[in-house]
Amino acid sequence: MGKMEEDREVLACISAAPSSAKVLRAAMSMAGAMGRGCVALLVETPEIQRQESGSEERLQENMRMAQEMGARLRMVYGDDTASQIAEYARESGIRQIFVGKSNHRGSLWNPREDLASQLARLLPEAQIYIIPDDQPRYRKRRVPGRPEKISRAGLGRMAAVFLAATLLGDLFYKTGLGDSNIIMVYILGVLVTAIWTGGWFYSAVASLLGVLSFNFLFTTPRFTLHAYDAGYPVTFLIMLTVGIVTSSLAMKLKRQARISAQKAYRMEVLLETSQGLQKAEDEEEILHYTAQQLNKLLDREITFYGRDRDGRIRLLEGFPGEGAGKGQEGVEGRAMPEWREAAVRWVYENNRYAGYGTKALPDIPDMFLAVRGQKGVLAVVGMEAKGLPVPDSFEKNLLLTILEECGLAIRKERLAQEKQRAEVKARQESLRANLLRSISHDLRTPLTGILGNAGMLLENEELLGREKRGELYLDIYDDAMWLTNLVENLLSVTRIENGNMELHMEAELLEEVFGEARRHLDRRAGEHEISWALEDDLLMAKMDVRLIIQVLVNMVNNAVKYTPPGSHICLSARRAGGKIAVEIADDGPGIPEEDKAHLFEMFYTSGGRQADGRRGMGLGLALCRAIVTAHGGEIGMRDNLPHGSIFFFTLEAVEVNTDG
Amino acid sequence: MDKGKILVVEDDRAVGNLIMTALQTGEYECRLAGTGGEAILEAAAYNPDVIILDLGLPDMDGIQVIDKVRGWSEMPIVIVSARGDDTDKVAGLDAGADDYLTKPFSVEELLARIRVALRRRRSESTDPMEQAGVYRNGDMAIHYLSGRVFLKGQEIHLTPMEYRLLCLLAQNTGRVLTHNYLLREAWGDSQAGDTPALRVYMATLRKKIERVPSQPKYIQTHVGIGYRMIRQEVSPGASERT
Repeated sequence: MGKMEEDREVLACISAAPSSAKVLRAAMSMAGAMGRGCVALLVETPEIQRQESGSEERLQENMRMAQEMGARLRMVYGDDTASQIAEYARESGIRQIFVGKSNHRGSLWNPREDLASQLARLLPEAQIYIIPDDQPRYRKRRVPGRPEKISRAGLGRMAAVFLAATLLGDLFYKTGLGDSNIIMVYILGVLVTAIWTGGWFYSAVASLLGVLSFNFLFTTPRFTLHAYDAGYPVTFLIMLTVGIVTSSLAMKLKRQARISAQKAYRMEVLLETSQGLQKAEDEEEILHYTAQQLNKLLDREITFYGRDRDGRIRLLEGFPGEGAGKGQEGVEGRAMPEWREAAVRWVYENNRYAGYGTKALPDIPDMFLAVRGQKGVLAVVGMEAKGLPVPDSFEKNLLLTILEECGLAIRKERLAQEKQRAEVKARQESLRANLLRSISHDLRTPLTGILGNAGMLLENEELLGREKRGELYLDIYDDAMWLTNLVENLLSVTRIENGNMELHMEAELLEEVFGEARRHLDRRAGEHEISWALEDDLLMAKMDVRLIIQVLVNMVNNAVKYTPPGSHICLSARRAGGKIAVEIADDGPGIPEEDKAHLFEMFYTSGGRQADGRRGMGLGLALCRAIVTAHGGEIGMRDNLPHGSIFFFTLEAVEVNTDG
Repeated sequence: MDKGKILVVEDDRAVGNLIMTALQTGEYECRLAGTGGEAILEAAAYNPDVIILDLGLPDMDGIQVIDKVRGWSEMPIVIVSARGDDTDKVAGLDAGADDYLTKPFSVEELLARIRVALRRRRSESTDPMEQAGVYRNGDMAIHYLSGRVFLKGQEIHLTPMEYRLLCLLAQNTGRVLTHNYLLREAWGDSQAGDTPALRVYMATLRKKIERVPSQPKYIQTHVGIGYRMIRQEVSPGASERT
């Protein structure tokens, strides 16, 4: 794997051994020094599940510690610890491996190479750090299986097989097929017993019985337990050994089948989970999906809790939701018992598990686990525990892995959101800078007009004729009006560009909106013929009415500005599917091709065609676009026939039922 | 002559000056208060017919002034606020203000609002027909007892909801009623929030009452805020037979 040197993580091999803590600490401190991550790897062998009591808890404790220290916990399954570690390290390109010095030196019969030497042999390129153990000598004691339960069904099966073998042997004996075949039949019987019953006890008994009955029934002298042939004792011994060996092999086979089934199940669950988490579009979905998976795994109610900015504990998601109430009120409105809130708070503050079956707050009926991020707890998951079966280590490990996946997904989601926010902010900043530059220029023009005209009137009032004075007053009025409109537009821009544009969406009658827009038009609009036509008086659309009026005013003022006096401007609205299409049509000269593409860009003004040669901070149409887009509508322009242009936009229609 | 006493509450000197000048030109008697505290004192001592109240005051929120004044008097209050601040206006109207003006406003607009407010002030107590259970406004008459509405003597048929809305507007002639107020009063609390229905009822009501619905004479629409019934100048000789 072509991983960059600095991406390579440090591997800590942990087990149920008490030394694992030391191994972890050493690995973490190295990882920290090199600025890399640390993986805590646990190899689950078939033996691990049959170990003495106490090691199970130590294992859980070690896993918990690994997570608390911030290591990534990984579990692999296999018979041979060393080769599993080697394989994992090779696949993920890990070079630094920490192992504990194993103090269980193998037994006299089983002189084992220790783990570090095996790893060194398997991974010659890796650096292996052996952490010496000053812990009291710890012996991995093997408990020879759980005492088997002797069931009637098992005995029955054994008896049936044994009877069949004896009958077949009898047949062989009578037809003179020879001793060796009879022995074979009995060995076959032992094998069948081992597979069928799956217990040590039965196959041992079966082989013993097989030997005895062979001796009793088929060796001369028949019907005694004496054997004349000197080879028979050897035959008995071999037969017994074969019986026991085959049965133990068969059982191992069975166990491995179970493990690989579990492994397959685990892979399936994890794969499904990670796929589901990838599909989730926001945090809520991530949590909901995780809750659903955990519910499937553990078959109990799963709830996620979060903490809002004020530090209040809130219920985020649950599965199955109370009464499947996905409605926010249904979930949030439920009063949270005080103990639950306290437990969640405790988990948040301590980043440890709490509740039933753990060390902290063991008196409460639920169990609370943390979904961890890099910086503390992202969420807390609570599950019913009291009175329900305790999850076995397989389920627990799966549970922890799913929670880790969930934490990763949440972190990813939050990062993505943060990035998006940063981008939006950067865009807004540049927009604002442009805006300021453009405004300071555009404000000066009308202000100069007002100042000059007012100054002239103040000083030379007597010298100016009545008509001339009126003209100057009118200019002042116009300029002030223009400034007013400019300020209006600016206000709308700041509202939109603040990012979290809060639209006050309400259903509004188009008729009322048109009427209101008309009252805000330029004084110069009086020189144009403005009319409106509504398909239906009760046309209604969802909108932030202030902003949409702004759009209409800008568009009509625009039409007024770019068409000669006396032109017709017609506003119309009609239904189009679930939308309302609003159009502002004029019969002016139309818009030149080269301008069309840039019409809705900020600060674009139609070059040489400005009606008065000085105004227009191409803000109007850009603002219209921003507003309409924020409403989820479309905006555009097309040519009118025979000449002129039509500006249009769409809004979401509202149908109303007034039968009530 | 007594055209009316007006209290202007405005902290900006230039705007205060402008309003005072406009009012004096219109021959109203007027006084200026610069703070909310002053305004409340003057409202009690001077007993104006109308208060023009800027919502942005240095010492307190304009809404508080409305609350205080409404504690003892129903005198018309016209609030003044910056444009684009609909929530402010709605809050003021809901607190009991009668009308609003948006900055920047023209002098004609200001004088028109004052005329409306004064008319409301006068008609409040001295409408003899109101006592008899009949509401008259221009060519329109509402017979509260029989629940019938007439326009130029012709009965017009309204749905129950339209009638309820019309009565609400009529009883508050001259006041801007906010959407919330109308929803609350006409529907009761249970169904509040159904604004689309309100819009439609108002549109159909207007169609039945107004001769030219796009240029309404009686029911004025205040987009984003609410509706208002306008008092028509009494046309002499227009006496309906009912």
